[in-house]
Amino acid sequence: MQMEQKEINSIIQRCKEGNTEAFRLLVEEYQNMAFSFALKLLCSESEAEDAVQDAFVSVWHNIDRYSESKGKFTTWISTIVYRLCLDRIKHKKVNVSLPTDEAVLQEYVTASDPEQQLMNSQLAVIIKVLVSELSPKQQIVFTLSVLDNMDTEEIEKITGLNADKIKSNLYVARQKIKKQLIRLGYDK
Amino acid sequence: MTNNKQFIDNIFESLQNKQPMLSHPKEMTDAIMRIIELESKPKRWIVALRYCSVAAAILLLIVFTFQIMTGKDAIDEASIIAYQNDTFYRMQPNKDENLYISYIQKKLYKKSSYELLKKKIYESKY
Repeated sequence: MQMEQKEINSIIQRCKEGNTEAFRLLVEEYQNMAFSFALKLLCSESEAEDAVQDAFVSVWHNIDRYSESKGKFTTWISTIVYRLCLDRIKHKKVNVSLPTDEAVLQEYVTASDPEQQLMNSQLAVIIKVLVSELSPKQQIVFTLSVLDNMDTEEIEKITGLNADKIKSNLYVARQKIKKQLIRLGYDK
Repeated sequence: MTNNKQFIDNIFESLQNKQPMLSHPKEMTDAIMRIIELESKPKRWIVALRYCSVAAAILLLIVFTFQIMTGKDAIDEASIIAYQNDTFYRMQPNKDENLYISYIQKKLYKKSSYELLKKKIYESKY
């Protein structure tokens, strides 16, 4: 059950006063959202967990800087997760997809039920294969827009990119993924 | 080409509905809270350290005040001794062999009386 905005504001206020028990409630409420976002960006379960941990420690340290005028609390958390993930993506070695990773994608694509449940590791591998040819910015815009279904305004707030750059990065990302899928033989 | 586009869009759409969840959410929450509580501890130390330094400053101030007061008593005591010496000196017969010693004693007494007087004037001014 999701918390109401009023309740969230009251918890945030208590966190600003240094109440760690109130912060526990925030962590419990938003850690899955942050993990989902981090996993799609980093394509690694363990790295995503580390990023979520770092993100919430950062949220605790900077909670005084948050105010409702800055937008939704989820957007603010996403911005922190995004910055941490971008840093990790930039320092990461080249994202090479292995034949075993491509086999996971093939299994997923050829399965008769598209609503099949995926394990975190499977989802991470599938996204890794799809975005392996993308630059960090293209990957982030693609993840936020296509996989997380965010609107351009929210992506602007999180990434700091303007609408034109978001659209162009998204277009290039889609084209590259299309080519990648054709290269892998998914040409129907 | 249209089939391709449709096929790829279907992949994207199916992935859109996948919301990965943490395998061990409770452990994650506990780990985050542990870090935060550990980081909060130095702050408590800083507060304790602040109280300790205030207490030490007050103690130093008390010791300093006590020393000043004791010093003042010593000066008063010195003036009494000087007065007694003077009385004793006046009671002594003025013999020739003691002339030089008497001269030195008198000079020393005058000097200390002058110094004492100067100090008292200075203290009364400020």
